[in-house]
Amino acid sequence: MIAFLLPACKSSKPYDSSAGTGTYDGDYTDMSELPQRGDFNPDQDVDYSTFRAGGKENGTIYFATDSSTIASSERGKLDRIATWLFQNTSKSILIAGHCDERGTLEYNRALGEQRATSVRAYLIGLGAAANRIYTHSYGEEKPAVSGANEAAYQKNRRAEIGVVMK
Amino acid sequence: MRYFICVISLFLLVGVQAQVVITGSGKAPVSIENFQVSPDGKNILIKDLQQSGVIELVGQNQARYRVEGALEGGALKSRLIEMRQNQVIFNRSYVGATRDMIHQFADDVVQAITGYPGIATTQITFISKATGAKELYVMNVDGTSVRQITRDRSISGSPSFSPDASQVAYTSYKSGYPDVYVVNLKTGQRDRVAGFPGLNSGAAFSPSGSRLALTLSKSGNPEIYTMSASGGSLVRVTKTRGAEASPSWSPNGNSLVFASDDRGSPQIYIASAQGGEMKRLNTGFLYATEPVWSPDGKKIAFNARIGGAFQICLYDLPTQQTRQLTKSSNNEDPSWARDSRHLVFSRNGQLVLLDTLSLETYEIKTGLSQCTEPSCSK
Repeated sequence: MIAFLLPACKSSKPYDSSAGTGTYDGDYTDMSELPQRGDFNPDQDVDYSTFRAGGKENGTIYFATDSSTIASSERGKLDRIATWLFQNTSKSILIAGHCDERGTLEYNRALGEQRATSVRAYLIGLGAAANRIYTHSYGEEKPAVSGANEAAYQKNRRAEIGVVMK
Repeated sequence: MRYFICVISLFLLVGVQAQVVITGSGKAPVSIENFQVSPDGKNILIKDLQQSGVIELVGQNQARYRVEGALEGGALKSRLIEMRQNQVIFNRSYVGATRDMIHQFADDVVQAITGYPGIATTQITFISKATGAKELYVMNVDGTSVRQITRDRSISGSPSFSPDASQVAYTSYKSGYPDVYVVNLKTGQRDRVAGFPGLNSGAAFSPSGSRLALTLSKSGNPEIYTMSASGGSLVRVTKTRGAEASPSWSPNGNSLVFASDDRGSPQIYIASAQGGEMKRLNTGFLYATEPVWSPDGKKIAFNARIGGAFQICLYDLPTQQTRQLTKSSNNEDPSWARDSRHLVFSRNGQLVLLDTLSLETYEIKTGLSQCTEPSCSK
C-alpha cells in the first residue's frame, strides 16, 4: 500500500555515537533498566523535603522547553544528590518528572518520564547505584505553580527528587 | 455519467445502481418525508444526516432519495427510496431506544447511498476533570448517554476503544503508578495489563484487537512496544535515546505511527510494528505529536504547535502533503471517526467534531467541563 513502510526489519545500522539520529540503533547499548517497583506508593511514600533542607533546591532539576537534557546549571545539585546516595546506602530515591502545560497530554507523560530517566542516567554516570533510583512521570498534571506565562512554565519543567520512606 | 452539483455522479453498475459516488465535498440530495417519530426524532435524523457530510437535505422536488419512518409498537419501521426509479433500497425495522434506532437508520442510509460508513452510531471515550479528578467516560457522538466509567479520584488518561468497542484501554494512576488498564464496558471488569517499572501509557488496540501498542520506560527510557491485549508477549518497536509516545496502528496492523523527540523536538515517525528503522514524516512543523492513522490508511492526523497553540493537521500519505485544519483556539488530541473523514478532538476543554473536507465543526455538548483526549469507536 505505502511503499516506504515495507522495508521493515532492515539490518541493524552500526551504532551512531551522535544521539538523536531518529533511527533504530541496532547496536545501541541500553539505558540502565529500571529497578522493579518497590513496595511504596509514589504519591504517599516519598519525602521531597530532604533535598530542600535549609532552603536549598537540590531536589529540583529544571529543564529547557521540550528538553530532557541536564543543563550545566543543574549539575551541582546532582553531584550533591549522588554524594547523599553514597552516604545513605540503605535509602532509595524517586525522581518524578514534570512538564509545563504547553505540550500535549500523552507526549508530556513520556517527556516527564524522560526527564526522570535522564536525571537517573546522570546519577548512575556519577557512580550511584541504579537499583536505588526509581523514576516516575506526572506529565503536566501537577504544576509547581499555576499561570500561563514563561515564568510559570520555567518552574514547572522539572524533575523533583525525593527519598523513598519505606 | 450524469453529474449532480458537479461532483456527484451516478454509479451505473449492476446491483449498486442506486448508489452515488461522492467525491470532494459533494453531497447526495435526500428528502425526509413522513418521518413520524415524536417528539424530536426527525431533528435527530436531520442532525445525523447533515453531520455525515455526504447528505444534503432538500425538498422532495430536488431529492434523489427519500427516507420515511414511523414508530410501530416501539420499533422504528423505515425505508430508503431511490426516487427516479421509485425503487425501495431498503425497508428495515429497528428495535431499541428511539435515539439509537434513528442513529442506526441514519448510518444505514449513508452507507446505502454513498458506500461510506456513517458515524451517527459512533461512541466516544474521553477524559473529564469535571469532578475535580480526571475520570474516564463513554458517550454517543451526539453527546448523549454520557456514562462515567471510573470513580478513582486519581488521574486517568489516553483512552482508546477495542475494535468492537466493548473494551477501553487507558492509563490510570490509581495505584500510584501510571499503568495501563483494560475495562470491559459491559461487565465493568477492569484488568491491569501493563504495570512495568516506570511509565506505562498511551495504549492503542491493534485493528484485530489482539495486541496493544503503548509506551513503556522499563528499559530506562520511554520506548514504543506492542504486547498481547491480555498482557505479556512484549515486542520492542523503538530503540532510541529520545522519548517515544502515542502509537497508532496502520489499518492492516503492520505499521505504527508515533511521536518521537529523538532528534530534538517531537516529530512524527512510522515504523514496522515488529521494530526496525523509523521513517520520519516531513510535516513541516517543529513540534508534532499525537498522530492517528485514518481507518482507510491514507492519512495521519496529528497535533502541531503553531504560534504557541496546538492545531489539528493532516498528513496525506500518498501525496506527502500537510494540511492545517484548525486555525484558532487550542485544539488537541485528534481521533478519527470510522469514515476517515471526521475527526473528534478537544478544544479548550470541550469536544468538537470536525469534517476534514468541509472544515465544518460541531460542538459535542457533553454537559461536562474540562474534557480531553477523546477517542472514537470504529
